[in-house]
Amino acid sequence: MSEARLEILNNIRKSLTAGEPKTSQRTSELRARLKSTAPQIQPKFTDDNLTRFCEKHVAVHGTYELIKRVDIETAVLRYLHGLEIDPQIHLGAGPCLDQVVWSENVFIYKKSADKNTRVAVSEAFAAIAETGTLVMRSGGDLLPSHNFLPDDHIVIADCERIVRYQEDVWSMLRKDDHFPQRAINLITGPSKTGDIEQTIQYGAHGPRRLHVLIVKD
Amino acid sequence: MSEISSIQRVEFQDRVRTALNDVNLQRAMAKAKSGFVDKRLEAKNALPEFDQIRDAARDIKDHVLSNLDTYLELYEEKVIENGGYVHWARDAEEACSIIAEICKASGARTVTKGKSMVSEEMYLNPALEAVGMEVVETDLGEYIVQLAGEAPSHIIAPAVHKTREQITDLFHEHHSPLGYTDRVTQREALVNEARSVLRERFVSADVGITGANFLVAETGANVIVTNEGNGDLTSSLPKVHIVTAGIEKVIPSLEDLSVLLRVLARSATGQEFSAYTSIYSGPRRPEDGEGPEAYHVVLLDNGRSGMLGSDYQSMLRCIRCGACLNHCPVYGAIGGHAYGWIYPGPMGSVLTPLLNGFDSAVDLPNACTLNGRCKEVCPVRIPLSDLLLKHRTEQHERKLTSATSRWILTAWAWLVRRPRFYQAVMSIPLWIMNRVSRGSGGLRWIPFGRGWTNTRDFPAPSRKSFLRQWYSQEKGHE
Amino acid sequence: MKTHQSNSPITVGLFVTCLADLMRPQVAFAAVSLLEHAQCEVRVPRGQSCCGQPALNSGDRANSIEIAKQVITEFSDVDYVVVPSGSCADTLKNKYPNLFSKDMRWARRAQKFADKTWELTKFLYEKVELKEIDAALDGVYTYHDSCTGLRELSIYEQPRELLKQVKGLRLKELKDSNVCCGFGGLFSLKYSNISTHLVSDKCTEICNSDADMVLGGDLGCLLNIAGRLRRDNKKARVFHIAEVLAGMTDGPAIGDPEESQ
Ligand code: SF4
Repeated sequence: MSEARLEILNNIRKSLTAGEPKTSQRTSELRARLKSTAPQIQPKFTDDNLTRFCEKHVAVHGTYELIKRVDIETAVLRYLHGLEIDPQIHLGAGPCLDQVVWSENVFIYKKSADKNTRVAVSEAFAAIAETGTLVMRSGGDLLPSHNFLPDDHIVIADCERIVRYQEDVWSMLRKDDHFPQRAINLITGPSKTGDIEQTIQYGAHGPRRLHVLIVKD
Repeated sequence: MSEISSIQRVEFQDRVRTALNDVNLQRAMAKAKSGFVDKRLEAKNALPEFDQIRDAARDIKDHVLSNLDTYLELYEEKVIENGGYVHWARDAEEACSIIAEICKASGARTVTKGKSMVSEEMYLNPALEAVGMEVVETDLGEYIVQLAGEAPSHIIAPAVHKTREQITDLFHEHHSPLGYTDRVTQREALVNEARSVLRERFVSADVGITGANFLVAETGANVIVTNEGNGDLTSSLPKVHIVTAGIEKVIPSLEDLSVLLRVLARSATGQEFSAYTSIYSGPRRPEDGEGPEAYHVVLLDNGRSGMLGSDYQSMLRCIRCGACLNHCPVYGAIGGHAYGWIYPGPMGSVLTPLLNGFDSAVDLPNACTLNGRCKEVCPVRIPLSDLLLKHRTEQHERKLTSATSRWILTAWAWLVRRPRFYQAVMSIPLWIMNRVSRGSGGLRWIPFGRGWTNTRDFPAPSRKSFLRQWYSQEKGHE
Repeated sequence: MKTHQSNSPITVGLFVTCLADLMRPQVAFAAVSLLEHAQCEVRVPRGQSCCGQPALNSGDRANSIEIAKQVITEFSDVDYVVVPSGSCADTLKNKYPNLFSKDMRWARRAQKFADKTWELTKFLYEKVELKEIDAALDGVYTYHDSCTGLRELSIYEQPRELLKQVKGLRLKELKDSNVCCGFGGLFSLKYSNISTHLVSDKCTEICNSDADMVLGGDLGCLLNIAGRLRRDNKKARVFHIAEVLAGMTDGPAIGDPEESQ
């Protein structure tokens, strides 16, 4: 196996002799490039982050509601009631979610989602205005299965954590202790497929619906 | 050599004929025709910086390619730091045996797969089945072609060649034994049925195999972009996650990733961003509540290292978005299978001879009108039509083209370089053809031109060429 | 490039193209008349035939180089070279210089030649700003953008703008006007069934557009389209744009019988 490694790398070097030779200086230059994290060209837009996020999120078939921090439970229950779904939820974690004291009306699972999971409630690490994207990360009580198995995914997003561009998220993630987190899931709208007659159908494998509760006090 | 190419010619022409006469294929392709194109254009028009971002994307890829050895080492270092393993495979066979070994060693029986063109390239499924694994494709399109026992016909829309009726039949045949006895025909019902069948597979798989849209050297992560979420279920639920990727997939940092993501979905499907873009690094951490226990990356060379530094290096920038297929009129006419290998369309016509040998697909670079639409839309600005022309030159120099055609070319060029003689010689057929056709306006048959006249008239030529008229009319006319 | 005084007219060498020469001389006569209308002194070097595309596109560099040298030499003493075809103009302008990567002297000559080479409509619209043409043609036309002209030489506006000067003409855009008609030179013979598929699609759109005529700047495509329309007995007439601008549309259209008009 290491023989293959050597051969491949040697072949690359042989082919690249016209390019820059591999020297330790070159390697450290490239290492430095990895550390220089200035964003390259970014699309300009004028809307504020919240407006843009909501607009883009709706454009990809997401729904949302602006709520106060204290109203998380009510909003979750109202949403589920509207869909006539029992309030049994797989619960994630996060600064907003952790403060909620759930009433007896809600049945809570603190475990991975499975093939029968109906609803998961998660909190986003951040959200991206540019594309209407939610950013989820793994670690501890943050379980990626919640993002992909339920029929309904409800995501709490702190308005303060809606950033302008993807690159802003990378900076936030780098400051996080667990960087690089095992899983970083950027979610933009519910699951969908165009594989049958190139026509979009929602709920291919993952959530059929994606509802965001934007917390803004 | 010329024997190989003549057999191939027959095979290629046969596949083309089959494709053009395949009613289902033609119906499906007609349906798909303008969707991708219109949506991409809309997305492009909505982003004034699009072309600048394409330049940046190209530059990133070029930078990586000219430092590929170092970036691969830096990437490997990080994967290991994250607790993953990196395996290197010189060719398809080596890659398959590495993956089969990992599966066997982990005691696996069933394997789920996210869509991965590189695994198609290495014929991974049969290799795994040969060692007793049950392999299930989970991308809906891939799943459909797997049920049909076919290869994908498009790199991002594997089942683009299938009509809804065909999918209905396939599902009915394969799902009935699982208890889905109703014959469903509506799109939504079909998607739902596949969803519930595949759910069982996701949760019971022992190993998940995905490709990678990108490998990030900064963090040792693989990035996978999907709309369905199947790649994520494949990456997250089984005990073992194996990533397969060509060595050219590595990019420097997350900021570089942002640039590439901004052109990928727009070029592929006209979306601003796909539903799921996931960045996975290594196996589960001690503090993680879930995730695979082992994480392997299999890096495949299979001819790529030899493309570096060659005239074809730019082909390694390809991010497999499929835009060149969607915009290729020839692909639109014959579909993907006619190309004979897993990479169809313009990118396939450039890549196949490079990966499988110049004499392996002599027709592909020629079966192109050089209309340049592919090159116009490629997000990383690969000069596809120029590369196809380069292939033709290479074929000519390696004498892979037929002796007759080379002889005709030489004779013709000899004539062209003697203009007066050329004009005299050409005046004869011109006069005859004009006599025969001027009454009707066109010929229904010309020597050596049956390909044309079978389906088109050959418009009547002039009685006398322009140059002869010009010079007989007193030099320089009045 | 040589700058000229306003009192001496600019000299233009017409590269006729082999298709116009043999198939449709009227296109070349029309080009001459338009260039003269724009006060150019037109020359037609005798030692020309084909630009070499069949060799070039078949990967035959050696023969392509010889042909290129001959064309470059033949047009060495004109101010501009004008070509009534996008794909031939592209060959002269963009492909010739690349043929001489190993021969600096010829590379320089080819580049100089390339710099003075223009496609006809681009030259008329951008360089000499052709005005006050005296042409009239009643009807609705649609324009077929030939691929090479469109993508390699950015020809799109120029023909449409020029045609606005023709009295009585109205434009109806074609759906998928930027999609290949399936000609592709030798492609149309070697892969004739694919070519047929593409030209059929093109002709379907032409018929759907209800235009009376199809205009374009490349004879190859026009012969292909006309041949297919005639075979299907479709009525749309086909002309090269030069013929229309020069008012030479009284005779038969491309592929029409001589007596018919
Ligand atoms: S060659 Fe360009 S357009 Fe084609 S798949 Fe690759 S990146 Fe996309």
